[in-house]
Amino acid sequence: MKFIHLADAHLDSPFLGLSFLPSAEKQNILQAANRSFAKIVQCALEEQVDLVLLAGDIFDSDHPSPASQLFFSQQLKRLTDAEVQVVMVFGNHDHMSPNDLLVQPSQYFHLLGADEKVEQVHLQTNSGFAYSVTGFSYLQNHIQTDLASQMPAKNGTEFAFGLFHAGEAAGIKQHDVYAPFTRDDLQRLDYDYFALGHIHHRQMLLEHPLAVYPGNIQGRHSNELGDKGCYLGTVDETSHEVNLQFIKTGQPVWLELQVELSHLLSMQELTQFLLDQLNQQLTEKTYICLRLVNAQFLSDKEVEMLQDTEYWQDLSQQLKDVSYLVKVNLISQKQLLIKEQDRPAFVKAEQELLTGEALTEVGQDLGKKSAVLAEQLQDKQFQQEVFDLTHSKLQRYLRGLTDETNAD
Amino acid sequence: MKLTQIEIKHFGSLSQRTFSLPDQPIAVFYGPNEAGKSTTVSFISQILFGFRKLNESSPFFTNYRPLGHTSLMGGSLELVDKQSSWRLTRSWTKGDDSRRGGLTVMQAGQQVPAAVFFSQFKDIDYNFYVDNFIFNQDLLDQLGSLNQQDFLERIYYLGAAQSSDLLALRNQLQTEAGQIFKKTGRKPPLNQLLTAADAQQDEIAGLSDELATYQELNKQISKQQTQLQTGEAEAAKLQKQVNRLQALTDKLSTWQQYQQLLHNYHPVKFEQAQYEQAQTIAHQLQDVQTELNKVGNQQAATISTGQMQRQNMCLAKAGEVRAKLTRQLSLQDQIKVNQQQLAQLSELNPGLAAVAQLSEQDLQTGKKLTTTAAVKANWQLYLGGLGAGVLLALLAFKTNHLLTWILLVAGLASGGYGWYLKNRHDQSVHKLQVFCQQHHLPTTGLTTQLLTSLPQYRSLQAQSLQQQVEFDQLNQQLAKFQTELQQCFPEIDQAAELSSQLMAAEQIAAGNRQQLQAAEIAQQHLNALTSQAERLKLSLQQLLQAADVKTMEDYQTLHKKWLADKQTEAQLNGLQAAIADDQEQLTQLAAHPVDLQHKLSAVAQNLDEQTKANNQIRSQLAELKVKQGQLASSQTKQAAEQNLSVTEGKILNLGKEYLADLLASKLIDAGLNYASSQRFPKMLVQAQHFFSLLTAGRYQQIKLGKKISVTRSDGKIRPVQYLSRATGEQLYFALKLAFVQQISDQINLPILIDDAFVNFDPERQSLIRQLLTSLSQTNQVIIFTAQPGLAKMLTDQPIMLQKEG
Repeated sequence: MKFIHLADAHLDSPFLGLSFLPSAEKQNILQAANRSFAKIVQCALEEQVDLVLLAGDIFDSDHPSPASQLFFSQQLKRLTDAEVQVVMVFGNHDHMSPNDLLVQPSQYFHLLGADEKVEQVHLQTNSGFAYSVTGFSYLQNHIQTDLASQMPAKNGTEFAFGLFHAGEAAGIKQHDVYAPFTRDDLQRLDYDYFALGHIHHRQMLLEHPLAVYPGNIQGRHSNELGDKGCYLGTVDETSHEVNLQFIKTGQPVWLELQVELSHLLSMQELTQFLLDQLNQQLTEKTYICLRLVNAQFLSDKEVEMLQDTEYWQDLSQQLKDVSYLVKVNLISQKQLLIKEQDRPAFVKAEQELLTGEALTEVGQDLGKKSAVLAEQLQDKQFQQEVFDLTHSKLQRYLRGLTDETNAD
Repeated sequence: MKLTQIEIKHFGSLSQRTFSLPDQPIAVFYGPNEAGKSTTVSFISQILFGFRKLNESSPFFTNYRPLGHTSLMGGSLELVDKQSSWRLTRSWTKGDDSRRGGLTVMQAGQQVPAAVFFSQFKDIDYNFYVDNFIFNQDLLDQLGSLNQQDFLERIYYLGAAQSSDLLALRNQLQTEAGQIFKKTGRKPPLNQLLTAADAQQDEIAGLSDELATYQELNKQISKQQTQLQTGEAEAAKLQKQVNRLQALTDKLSTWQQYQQLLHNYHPVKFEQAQYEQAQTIAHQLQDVQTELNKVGNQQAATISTGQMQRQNMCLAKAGEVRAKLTRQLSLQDQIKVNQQQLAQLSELNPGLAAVAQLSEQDLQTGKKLTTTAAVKANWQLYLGGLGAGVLLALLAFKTNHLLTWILLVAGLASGGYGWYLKNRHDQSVHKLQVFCQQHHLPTTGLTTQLLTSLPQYRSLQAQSLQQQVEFDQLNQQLAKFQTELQQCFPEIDQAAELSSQLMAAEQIAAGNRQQLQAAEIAQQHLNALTSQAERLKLSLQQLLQAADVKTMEDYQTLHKKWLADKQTEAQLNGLQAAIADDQEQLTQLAAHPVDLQHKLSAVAQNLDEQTKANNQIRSQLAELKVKQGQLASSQTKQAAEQNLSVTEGKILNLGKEYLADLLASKLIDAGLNYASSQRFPKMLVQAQHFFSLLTAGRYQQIKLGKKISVTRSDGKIRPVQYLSRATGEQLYFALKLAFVQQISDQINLPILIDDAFVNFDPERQSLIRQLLTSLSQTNQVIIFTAQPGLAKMLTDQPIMLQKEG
């Protein structure tokens, strides 16, 4: 038996922080998720899979645009026309009424647990290999109950799939709002394969039983780095062992590319250096999040230049594979440019202040005004970026002080 | 560090004064106004940190006057700390390079570099000391601007090397953060972006009904499609009816046409096979007739037999004529050869032709003359004999006269005979010449050569003559034959040679013979054709009679009629087939054709109405589908969401900048705070304690922000500007003292307090004492007072300052 497991397609999703891209490229990236999804469908058809599992957040919102819905419907029809079983659950983003889903009814399409209750379907492959899929959908954007624990026990020797969109319980009530489950739940159920969704970073949560997050199908911003796509699973119908193969379908790929400075460079030299370093690392069309290490070697003008999106565009024109520079993180040397005797105090201050708690406190006023910021304030990567920026700013200013001192 | 002795050489109004300070934590200088209390305070600070001239603005030296030009300014201070004793001597005279004065530092009696002393106080400067360790009236002016920063800066000064720069940087970062975002504000860019994002979110909320609209349209479309299906079914039914009625109308016309045609249909009797046979015979007959005509024409072209006989007779001579022609040609050649031979002979023998003309007699004459003229007269010999005789005679004359004479006579006789011979020869020659001229002969006459050739020549001449005669005869005979031939064959070329004419004539005669033979054959053919034609005419006649027509033309007319009948029959069959099913109904309808028209009109009208209604539904459906299509391809929501995303991207970027600015400023604060061992919080606790003491418990808490506020014992918070002056002074005093005490572990210098600064009213004196006692545990406190009560309360042995002169 062959199956495809995908999640978090987020069709219709806007792309963050790409307003500076040329309009043609913007159009291109807006279609990227659709392209990736169509590729997965194509792959399913070519591989002649028996089953496609959609583990939630296929749409970015609970009111997806008709265009998006029709696209999804057409792609689904390709599968059901080919008699491929499709089992889907809604996630916290696309928690919608089944009536709102513009999908042509088919004996091959199954939406599980639309009333936010665990539901099970029993199916079999053309060759008669029987399997079940058990899962649930979101009716609201949060599920605080551990619905996984309510799933029925495995039925004899039948191959069992678990399909749901959820996050592992963290023990913090306000965070555990995505059907929080525990690894114990999964181990107790002992299904053959848990097709999970919600975490955009591809990962294997458990090997026994197999619990897999395939990640989202298309990187949309700098937090969604690396290859994106779906998993193609091949089940040994005797031993029930699953062989997983990742299928990359997302393009362009978002990558963090690191470039290290070792000394001061003129603006022209810096540009050439960046081009050389980046082009060396490029192997395909990439949206590059540049991590420029040792930013203390940059002049103020260079910093200004590197933060200018027009400069990004100019640079991108000389990059391989129609790649684009879409983000620049300046990372200054760890050691603050401060008098040696004062350094321990400032290290301590950094340890105290460059923390999520301190950032939350500092950003309290801002978080109240902006939901997106409030959310990002909790995001580790965002926090790290703020810390990097803080450090980098400090270094730059401190170097100014040193330079002035030296100039005197 | 404690001050133990003050030794003033010259300073301001004071000179040559020495004050020993008691070995107690609190020292009190007592003296009336203008006694030099302020000058002493200035002296202490300036000996420590250098002189300040009048033109340098300093709030402390209003009473300072430089001394005379020559006088030395300065003095010494003696201090002790736990480790050592110090003596600082500073002096300045006019001409010194340093305005601060020359400083000598002695540690335990040994001179040491000044830095050794100052390094114990973190290298603080004059201003720091004056601002923090000296309390007098002038400081009260600063009260209004008192804020946390002053204290932080001063405390941080102890900790971080670049505290001032770092504090400036911290402020800059705070300012930058404030320029990005304000908690309550509209103008900062981040605030603007947040407002914009809210608006965009509202816009998206308004758009999120796209799906609902799409589905509503779906329902409407479905409904309309059902209506359309019903309408189309109805229209199809009506159309069927219309088609049926229309077909009946058309069939009625066909029916009528059929009836008409049937009425006029009278078929003739006709046998196709017989007609075809007749037609074949007629064609054969026609062919025979044509052949007959052709053969007849050929016969007319044949020549007459008589003419043919004449020609044959003429041609019977052909053999003879050809022999003659051959002979003629042979003669012609012979004549030509003879003529050539004659010409050759004449050429070889000039005069031969003339000789041939000579008669026999002339010939003999000529021969004789020629022979005579040809005789060689040896007269020269005889003449030579004369000469020889003479000569010999002459020779013989001497010897023999006879001989001479005989010789002479013989010579003379020979000479005479020679003469005679010569004359006779000349005459013969002359005669020959005359003869030759007469007969046109060559002058040589009839030479042997000529005479030898003459018989041949003459034979040739005679032969030629004979041949010529024969040739002329032949010519005449042939000319006669030619005339005869031309008469028999006038068509031959009259100008051609006879042989050619003869050949042509023979060809013509041969042709004529063939023609005559062909004519005979044609005649036989003609006879056969004539009999065939008769047979065919008979057969045809029989067939025409059978068909009851007279001629073949009639028979053809009958055939055409028959063909027309066949066409009509086919038409009738076609029409009948078209109406076959409805014949009965048509027969009925034919009686009332108008009813059918009315019925058709009515049904057609219904159909038209139904079609219109359907079109209207289609149009509505199309509109709905267009709307749905627009929604299906609508990028509006996506674009709006993308716009929001763009704004959010900007918010995040700017937010990061803001947060980084704030974090960085806080980080600097925290860094400085750690660097200064977190003195500030401790200082605040101490200041609150002092302030509570100074206000007799009325105020409990000090809050330091950009402005200072205090909390009263009843819990009310009062900003510093609303405090009474006395309370303000007490607050300032408390804070400064707490600060000095806080830094005492690193900067331990005497605290100088002028009573003009502190409101030491009697009610509070015990509290003040308590405060100073607390203070003096860390620092030496030196009080300058004009109040004897205070002095007495603080010490038993005040240092007396007296007004000079």
